[in-house]
Amino acid sequence: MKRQILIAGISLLLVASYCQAAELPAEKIRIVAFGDSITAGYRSTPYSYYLQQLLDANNCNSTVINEGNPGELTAQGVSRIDDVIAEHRPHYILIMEGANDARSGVSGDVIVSDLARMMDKAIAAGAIPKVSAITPNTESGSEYLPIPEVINPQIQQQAAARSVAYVDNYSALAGPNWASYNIDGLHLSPAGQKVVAQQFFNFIPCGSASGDSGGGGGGCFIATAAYGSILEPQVALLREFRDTYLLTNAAGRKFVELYYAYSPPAADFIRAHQSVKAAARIFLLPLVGLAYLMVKGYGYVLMIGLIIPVLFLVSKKKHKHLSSV
Amino acid sequence: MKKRLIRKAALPLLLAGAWALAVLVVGAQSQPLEGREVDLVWSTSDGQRMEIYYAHRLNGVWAEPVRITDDYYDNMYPVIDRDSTGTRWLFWTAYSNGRMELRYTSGRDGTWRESTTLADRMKTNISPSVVIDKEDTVWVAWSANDGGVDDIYVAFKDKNSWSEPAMPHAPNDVPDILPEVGLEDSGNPEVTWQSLQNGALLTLTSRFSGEQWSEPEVSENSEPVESHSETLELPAFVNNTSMVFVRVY
Repeated sequence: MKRQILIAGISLLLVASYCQAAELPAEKIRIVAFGDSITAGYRSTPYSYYLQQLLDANNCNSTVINEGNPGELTAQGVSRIDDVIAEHRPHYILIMEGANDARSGVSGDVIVSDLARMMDKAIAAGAIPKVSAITPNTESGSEYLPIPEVINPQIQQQAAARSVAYVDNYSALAGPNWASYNIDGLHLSPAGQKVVAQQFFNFIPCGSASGDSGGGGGGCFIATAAYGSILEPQVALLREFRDTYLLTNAAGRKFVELYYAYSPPAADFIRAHQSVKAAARIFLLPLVGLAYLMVKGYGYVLMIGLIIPVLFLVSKKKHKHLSSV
Repeated sequence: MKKRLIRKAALPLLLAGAWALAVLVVGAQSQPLEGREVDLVWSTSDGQRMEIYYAHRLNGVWAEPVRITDDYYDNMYPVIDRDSTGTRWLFWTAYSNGRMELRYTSGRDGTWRESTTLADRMKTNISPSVVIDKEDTVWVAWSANDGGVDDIYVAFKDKNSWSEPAMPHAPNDVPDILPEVGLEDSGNPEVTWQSLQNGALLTLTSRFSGEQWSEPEVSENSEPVESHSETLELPAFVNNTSMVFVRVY
C-alpha cells in the first residue's frame, strides 16, 4: 500500500510535468554557418542570408548565425569551433572550410583531419554538423585540382564514417556556370552564395515532423528516434538538461560519453520500429518530466514530491513501531 | 636576421594573396626598397596547368618574366633564394594524380637547369621554404605525409650533395604545417612552423646546432620591431596573386 502511494505520487508528479513539457512551444532552430571568408561573404551577400530567406519562406522556425572568419585555416577553425558552439548552442552547424589551406600550402590530409576534428567536436557538443565540400578555386586561371581529386573525396569519406551529411557544394558550383558563381576564382558571387544556401537548405529539416533523426541527432539519439525529430520540444528539453546538469561535471560527462557510445544501435532499432517508438516515448516520460522540472527551475517541486511520500512512509513506520511497542 | 624578416613579410601575401596587389616588405635595412634587388616567383595557369614563373628586378626595373616549368604537372607554392655567386635556387610543389612532389631548379644569368625531384617518396610534399646560409648551404624545409597528417622535414645541400630529410620534431599524430626556414642572428638555420596541439595552433621553432635540430620551442607570434617597412607593387604581368613569393635582397 505504502509503495503504491509512493509510486502513484511520483508518477502523478512526473505526468503532470510531462504535460507541461508537451505544451512547450517548439524551440527556434539555431543554425551556425561556420567557415572562412566565403562564409563571411567577402564582397558578396553571404549564403547565411539567403538560407535565412529560404527558411523563412518555408515557415521554418529558424535563425541562421554567420560565423565566417576571413582568412581562417582549418587548424584555426578547430581552435575556434568550441567557443562558437558554446556561445550559440546550435542545433546545426554548417562547416565549410579549407579553401585557405589549399591555397596556402596545407596538405589535403591535414585539411580533412581538421574537418574531422570539427565534426567530432560538434557531435560531442550535441550539435548536428553538416560538412561542405571545398568550393572550386580557379584563381590561377586553371582549376586547383587537388580539391576535387583528393580533398573532397576524403571529406566525404570522413563525413560518411560519422553519419554526417556531406553537402557537395563543389559539384553544385563547378561546371559551366562557375564563371557567374565566383568573383575572383575563389570567393562566391551572390548567385554562387544562393546556390550554397539552397544546398544547405536541402539538408536542414524544416519543422518538427520532417525529422533529422539520423547521425548525431544532437546527441540525444534515443529521444530523437522516439520522438521523430531533434526539433521536438521533449528532445530540446533533454538536450538542455544534458548541457546544464550533465556536461557541467565529470560524472555527468562520463555518463554522456557512455551514452553516446552505446545508444546509437538502440536508436536505430527504435527508429526502424513504429511500435517501439511509442513504448520508448512512455519509457522516456519520467525522464522528460524530470528534465522539465530541473531545467525550468521547478527542482523544488520535485524535492517536495519526493519528500512528502518519504515523510509519509517514515511517519507510518514510526507509528507502526510505537504501536508494536 | 634580415632574410628572416623579409621571409616573414612574404607569408601574408601567400595567405591573403587574392586581395593583395602589393606586398609589404619589412626589414632592418635603411636602404629604400626602390634600389634593392628583388626576385619574384609565382604560379599561374598557362591555359592548361599551373606553371612557375620568375621575374627579377634591378634598379627598380623589372626584367621580362621567365617561365620555369613546362610539364604535365600543376606546379605550385614556389619559393626562391640566391647564394653568394648569384645562383638562384627555386623550389616548388608539383602535383599530379593525387601526389605532390618537391622539385627544384637553379639558375644563373638567365640560364636555368632542368628541374629535379628532391622528395617524392611520400604521398604529399608541400609548402617548401628555402634559405641559403653564408657558407652557401641551401636549406629547404617542407611538410610531408604518407597517409597520416603532415610532419616537417628539412634537407640541406652543401657543395656536393643533398642530405637525407630530417624531422626537426619527434614523430607525432598532430598536423605540423607551413614551415619557414630562416637564419638566426648567429647564421645558423632555424625552422618555424605551425602545429595543432590540444586544439590550439602553436608556432614552434627548432634550431640547427651543427649536428642536429633542437627540441622545438613554442614561439611568440610577435611582429618585428624594426621601423622600416615599405610596400612593393607587384608588376602587372603577375596575373595570379594567390601563390606569389617575393625575396628582397
